[in-house]
Amino acid sequence: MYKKNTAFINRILISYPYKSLLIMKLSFILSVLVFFQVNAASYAQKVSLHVRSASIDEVFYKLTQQTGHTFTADAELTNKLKPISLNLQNVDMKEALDKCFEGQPVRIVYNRADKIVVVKKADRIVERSVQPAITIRGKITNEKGDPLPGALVHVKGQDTKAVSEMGGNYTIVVPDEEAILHFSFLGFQVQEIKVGEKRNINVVLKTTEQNIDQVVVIGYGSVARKDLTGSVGQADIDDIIKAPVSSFEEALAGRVAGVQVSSGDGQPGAGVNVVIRGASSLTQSNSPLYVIDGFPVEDPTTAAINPQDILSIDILKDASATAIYGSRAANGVIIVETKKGKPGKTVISANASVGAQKVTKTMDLMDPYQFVKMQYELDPEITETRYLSDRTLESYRDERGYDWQKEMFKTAVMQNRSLSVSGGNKETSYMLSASLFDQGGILINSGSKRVQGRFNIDHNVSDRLKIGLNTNYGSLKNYGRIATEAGLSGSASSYLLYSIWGYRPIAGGDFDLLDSFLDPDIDESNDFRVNPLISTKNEFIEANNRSLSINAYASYKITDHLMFKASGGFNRRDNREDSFYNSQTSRGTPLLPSNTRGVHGTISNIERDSWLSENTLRYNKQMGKHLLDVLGGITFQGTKRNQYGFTAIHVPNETLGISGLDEGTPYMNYSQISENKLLSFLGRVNYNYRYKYYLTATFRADGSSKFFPENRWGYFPSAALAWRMSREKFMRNIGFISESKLRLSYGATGNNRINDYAPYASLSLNPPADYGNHMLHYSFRNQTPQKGVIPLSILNRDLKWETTTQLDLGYDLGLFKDRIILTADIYRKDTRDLLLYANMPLFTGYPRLYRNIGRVLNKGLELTLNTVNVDSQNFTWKSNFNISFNRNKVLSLNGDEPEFFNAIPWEIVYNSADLYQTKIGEPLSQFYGYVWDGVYQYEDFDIVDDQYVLKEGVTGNGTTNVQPGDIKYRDLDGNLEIGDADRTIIGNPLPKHTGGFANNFSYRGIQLHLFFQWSYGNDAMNANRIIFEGNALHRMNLNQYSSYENRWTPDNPSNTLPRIGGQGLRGVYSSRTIEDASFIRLKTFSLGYDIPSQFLKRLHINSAQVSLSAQNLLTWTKYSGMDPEVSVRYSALTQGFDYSAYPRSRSYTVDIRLTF
Amino acid sequence: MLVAVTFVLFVLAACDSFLDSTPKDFLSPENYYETEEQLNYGLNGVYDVLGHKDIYGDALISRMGTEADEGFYAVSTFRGPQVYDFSSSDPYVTGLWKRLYDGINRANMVIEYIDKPDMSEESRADILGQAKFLRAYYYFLLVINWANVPLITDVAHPEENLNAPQKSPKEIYEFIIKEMKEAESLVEEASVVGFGGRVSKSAVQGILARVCLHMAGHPVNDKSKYNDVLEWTSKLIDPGFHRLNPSYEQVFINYAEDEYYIEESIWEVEFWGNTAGSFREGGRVGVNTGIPTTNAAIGNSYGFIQVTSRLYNRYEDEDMRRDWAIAPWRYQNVNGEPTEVAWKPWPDHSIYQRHCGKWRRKYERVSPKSTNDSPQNFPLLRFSDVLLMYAEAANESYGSPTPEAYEAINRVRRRAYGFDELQSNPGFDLSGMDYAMFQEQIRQERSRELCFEGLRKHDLIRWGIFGSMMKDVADDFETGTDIFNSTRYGGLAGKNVEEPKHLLYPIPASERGLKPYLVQNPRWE
Repeated sequence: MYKKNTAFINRILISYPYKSLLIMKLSFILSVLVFFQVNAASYAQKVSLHVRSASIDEVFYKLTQQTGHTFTADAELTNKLKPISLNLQNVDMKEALDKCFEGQPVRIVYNRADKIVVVKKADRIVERSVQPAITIRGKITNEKGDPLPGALVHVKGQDTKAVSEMGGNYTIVVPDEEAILHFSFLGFQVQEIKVGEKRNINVVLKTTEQNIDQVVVIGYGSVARKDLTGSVGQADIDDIIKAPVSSFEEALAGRVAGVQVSSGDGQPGAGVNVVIRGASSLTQSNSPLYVIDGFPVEDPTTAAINPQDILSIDILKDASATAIYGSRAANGVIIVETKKGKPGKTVISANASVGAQKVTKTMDLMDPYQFVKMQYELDPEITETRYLSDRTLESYRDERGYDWQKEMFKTAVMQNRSLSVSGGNKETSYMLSASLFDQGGILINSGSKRVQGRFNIDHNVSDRLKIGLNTNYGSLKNYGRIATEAGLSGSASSYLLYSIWGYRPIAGGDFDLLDSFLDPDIDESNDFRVNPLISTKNEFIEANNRSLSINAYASYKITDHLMFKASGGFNRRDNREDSFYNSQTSRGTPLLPSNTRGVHGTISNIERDSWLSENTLRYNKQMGKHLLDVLGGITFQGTKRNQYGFTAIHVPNETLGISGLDEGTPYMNYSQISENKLLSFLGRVNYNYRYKYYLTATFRADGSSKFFPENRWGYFPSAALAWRMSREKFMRNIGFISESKLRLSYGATGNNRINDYAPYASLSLNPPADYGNHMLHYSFRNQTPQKGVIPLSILNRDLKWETTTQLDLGYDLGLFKDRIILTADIYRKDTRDLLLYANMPLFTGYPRLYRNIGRVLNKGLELTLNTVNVDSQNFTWKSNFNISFNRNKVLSLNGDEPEFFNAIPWEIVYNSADLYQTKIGEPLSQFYGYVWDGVYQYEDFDIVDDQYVLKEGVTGNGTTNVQPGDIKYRDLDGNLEIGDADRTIIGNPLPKHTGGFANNFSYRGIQLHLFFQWSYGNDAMNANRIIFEGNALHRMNLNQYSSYENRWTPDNPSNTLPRIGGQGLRGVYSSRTIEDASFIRLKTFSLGYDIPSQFLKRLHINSAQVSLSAQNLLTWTKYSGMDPEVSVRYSALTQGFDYSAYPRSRSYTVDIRLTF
Repeated sequence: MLVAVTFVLFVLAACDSFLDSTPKDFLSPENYYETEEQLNYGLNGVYDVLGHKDIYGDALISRMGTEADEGFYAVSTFRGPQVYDFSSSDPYVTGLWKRLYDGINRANMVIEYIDKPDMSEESRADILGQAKFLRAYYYFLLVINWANVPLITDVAHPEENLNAPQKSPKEIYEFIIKEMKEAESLVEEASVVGFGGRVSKSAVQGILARVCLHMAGHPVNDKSKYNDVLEWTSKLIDPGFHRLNPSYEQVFINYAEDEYYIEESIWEVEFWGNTAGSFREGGRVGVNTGIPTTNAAIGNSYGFIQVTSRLYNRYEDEDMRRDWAIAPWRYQNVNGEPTEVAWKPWPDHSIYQRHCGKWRRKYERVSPKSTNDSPQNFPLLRFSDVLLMYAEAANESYGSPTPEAYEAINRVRRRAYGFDELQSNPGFDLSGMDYAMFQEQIRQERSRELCFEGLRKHDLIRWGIFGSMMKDVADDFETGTDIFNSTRYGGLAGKNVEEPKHLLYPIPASERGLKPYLVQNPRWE
């Protein structure tokens, strides 16, 4: 693929053909104009140089940074040079040097072993006049057979050169048959061919890969990967955009070691959870800090960015890398840079894709026969009259019944279109882009839509002053019922999937369940299911997120070594959520007694304004063998959040929808404003000696308005050392090792993710959910209730930064000219003074307060292996494999507290049942409950007075009258009864390891991308099975999974599923519904074809690619639910819970990319 | 370098003020409580606790405190406080503890800032008195349910409060009495307040009597407190303002109709509305404890509490309270309409099927009726209780019933049989009983008069007969011949009761998790 051909230092370019054209021209001119004595060395390394009025020292510095070579020149030469202004893109190192010394007689000596390049004054210009002996002709083409005009051919060891013409043809004269022809072209691998007897030599040049010179963005600057001292993961953006998803985060899963990305369920537009190197905060957010085009945001709307616009994603993981963002970097930093325009011809690229999505898996439900049989066991009397009055059970065998899943899960269309225009000249470059993304949900009446535009411009005002602007606007709409949200009753029966799965497959009477809103045989006082089809169609739920960001910068070169940069930005996000429930919806229908609000609707707004001012001074200089790069800066940031909205209930005219809310009764009006500010000083020193020994020291001081003055400042130092062993003598002789680098870093980072006013004492008239959502009022003398105000929190002046110290030991190994690159990191991340929203003794009257309490340790290992497995003329196969292991351990908690528990609110009966235990010495949030021990069998009982009575010594299950077929739990405390003391840890939602395996195959113009992602060793609580595989709430007319067909009956003494009515205690969890949620997924599949350029020329198209992609194609798992990647109540303390999750979709898309 | 450091320090100092922020998100105590109105908002927050679902809004009217010899929880959930099968992490127990301390904390705030606003001293005293009384009342509920509890009385020392030790029941009672006495001198007369929803002097006096009565019984057993009961009840009885509503049933119909009768109903928890507007201030009176029907016009009721024959048989046939407290009929659909169909007298097995009938939603005037929320107030102190407390304390104090004691109990009985409360009725009035007979009479009379008002369990406990009574109840269910087998499960509560374990609730497990120094109540370890 052309795209792949782009050398990495050159990834700013939009696409290959444009680049190729530019290079062809450039190279052609170069080749024609430049005639110098040429040293025999090869300069395969490609460099880019964009300098204005630069000294040769600066040019050398830049070349050094890019190539790792050391450059020196004769003083006489350098003195003669005028300031150099160059704009070279991806040229040979040598050609760059030639440009610098244009018009100077120079000789370039290249010491390959030491990687030293010396530019000397030429002794004399050798004027050889060798009589041509042999004339060679031939054609130079690329791998696809397209001619390469402007390629350079020269005779090795001689001055003789030739340049290919437009058709790729060349002619060169060689002295003899021993001559070796050297073919080179920018962006392609050099080839040398001995002339021998050949007179016609056609050459196919292969594209080059130059991972080694990858540039890594590290915050307030970038370094070459080889010079990196910290642990920074880089996502392959070319691979990421192959996934047909709305936000880059979704495609990030499994791409970078140490970065765990998961989504709670498949709801379109639902956020993803990104955790870098394990969760360290228990009650606060563990999501990383995002720095998008230089603007740090804690909770960005990542879906507002078009993934196609992204140039690079760098993930800072260790303390050395993150410390420059000190205060907020404890959870890691994700740096996103977007594409910029480049000087040269205007490039237009367009991309359109269209696709279809289907649900990955539906559940097998009971058919009418199985259902009626089950009803009979549940209540024979009712079943006789309702289902069997005029027909037999057997007659239901032929009945097809309703398939509610089929009614609700639809094939949905997905579309994506984007267009970008970029270009510029030496002074100004720009890029304009726009995109439209439309993803229908696989559940009816749901989906997601994005309209987005971006504009950026960079302008060189003078040789020293440069300014630029980068803006992005994204309007994002997610609509449709949130599947994981309960109705007003809070009952498990008020969820969407409950209605879909639980609705009867057969009515038993003459009426059509499809057409009626309620099932007439359901007791609506405790079962809130409604016809999911009608309700979902009538619901209006829309979240509109508009986000505008404007960033600008100016950089001024004070001296050749000193640069000042001022940048700033503004970010505005409006998040508006509208909902309206008319009388045909489960929340709005007056037919359900739980709906105390009648027809109602809500409008809520969150406005967030954030501004940033950053001022940095950077000094860098090469002094002999020492390279010093010093950065200092001061930054200011402020964020203001304004939240307001209202609910109107008992809306009289429902046909007006949301615009009729004004006629309803006002219910809850709220408005909130909060603000925080951050002031930071930062400094960083990068030093290296001979590109062998590296030192990075970083320091950042942050002051946050969230804390009281005496605890306001946090200081976050870090240091890192790196040793490039490969440049030591003892290693240089080991030919197959191309890189060997050891890295060590240690440092501290912080976290201040708490409410803006957390340490203050506060009162409230409208307290949050912790107070039971009990609106504070009291009515005296039957008058309209009067407001009550209550204390919410007490003053805690001592509240301060949470600090994470991290030790990282890393090793980079490159073998066989970096065909194999291994990166390994081990780390130990220790978080102290946790900003814990700590449980308080209830007798204080404050349920929870923010305190600096607790300590959490994360230890882990990360491995990344990049390999070029096959690299032949026509076929290449490259792969990336990464795996991460993280172990989490809680070291201390709130004061004397040895453990605490968390419950999941999903069903009234279970709301106060503890499901997660967080205990000192254990990983956070372990599943907690009874150990399921099968089902009681006849042999567990004695028969007393015709009754089954448990044998002596057989433990009970907590209910009064245990019968054969009842569920059985393990009696851990040996008291023969099941009680609280029998609960224990029954599962771990944290994976043992996660990772990804990406493969890129290319054969001529065909590319195949296969990406596997996995998670191993994590458990999930499949609460759906509590309801649908055992009917724990004991409801009539509730359909079940067909797996429940294998329940215990006298004829089928199952030990896995209890009998009907044998579900035992209500409101308890057991290991029965804990499942291994490990999975491996063929997450992205993409097959692309580059249409040969000869077909495109006539259409004035530079390049065209057609591809076929699929997402979530195959999943291998033992998990019995719809999808193993599930966590519907996600927080650090409540992971891996599954109830009524929105199903995940498998999507197929056809994609066309064109550039003009 | 030095210049750089100096510069940084300079900038730092200059910029520090950049980081100063003023909360815009909420009220802070420092800038609140500036006016009488704001102080009253604070007081409303203290009252609000009474109506919370963990207190009288739900739990205390049907699940906790009612689980005694009068009725049984007729929903076959086999665990929970209503059947004495629960653990120290029970959400209801934890909820009750939590809300009571919430109320105490809220009251502490009001008391802390009582002097802040400029206002009339009368109003200030009234607010202070109500706050002090409510705080003491919450401590009273704590001490009768947990005995040894942390005593937090101010907000000035948060760190001390965080590690507050448990105090003995005696200390807690002494604090309650001290505070209530103070409140008594501060709050308004009942005649001035004019309705039962706000704390009046009479409410304080009557509850003080109840506190003293409990302090005189188990576990503190300070018999001298009977004298105090006489003193406090006399303050209510003697002036003559308080009297009984001539009709027993009207007392309860008043609650449904949102009418007040402060002469008898001295203190009530106020519930309001049907959730149709923007408030959710309804309660579950009549919803939990009522005559079951799903009919929206009558008013949905779950009828969680069915009665025991023990209660039924305490009444004589002429006692008009019986068929009010115990619904003699149920709703049955006749021609599609819910109709009041009498429980047949035979078989008398049906007694256990009957429901608590004190709170009947059909009388509610708020329309439409909400399924789960009723506007009915719940009585916390009725004058008949005051009279019975007087009679009991006199018998205990003097070792035998005094004429005043007879008069007090007879006033209650006369009204129950339709006689004039104040008109002596020689043939009917009780007389000539010894200490033990009178004591037994009081114990029965309290049940007849006050059943299902959340008092019975703690009466039995302070009398020291809780365990034995519950055993008897369990026997009734197990061996009784007047009961259907399908109802025998109702004896579960009695069967499960263990002494001394169930005389107290356990300190919530979460609380001991955070503060392991808290000593757990006996047998709850």
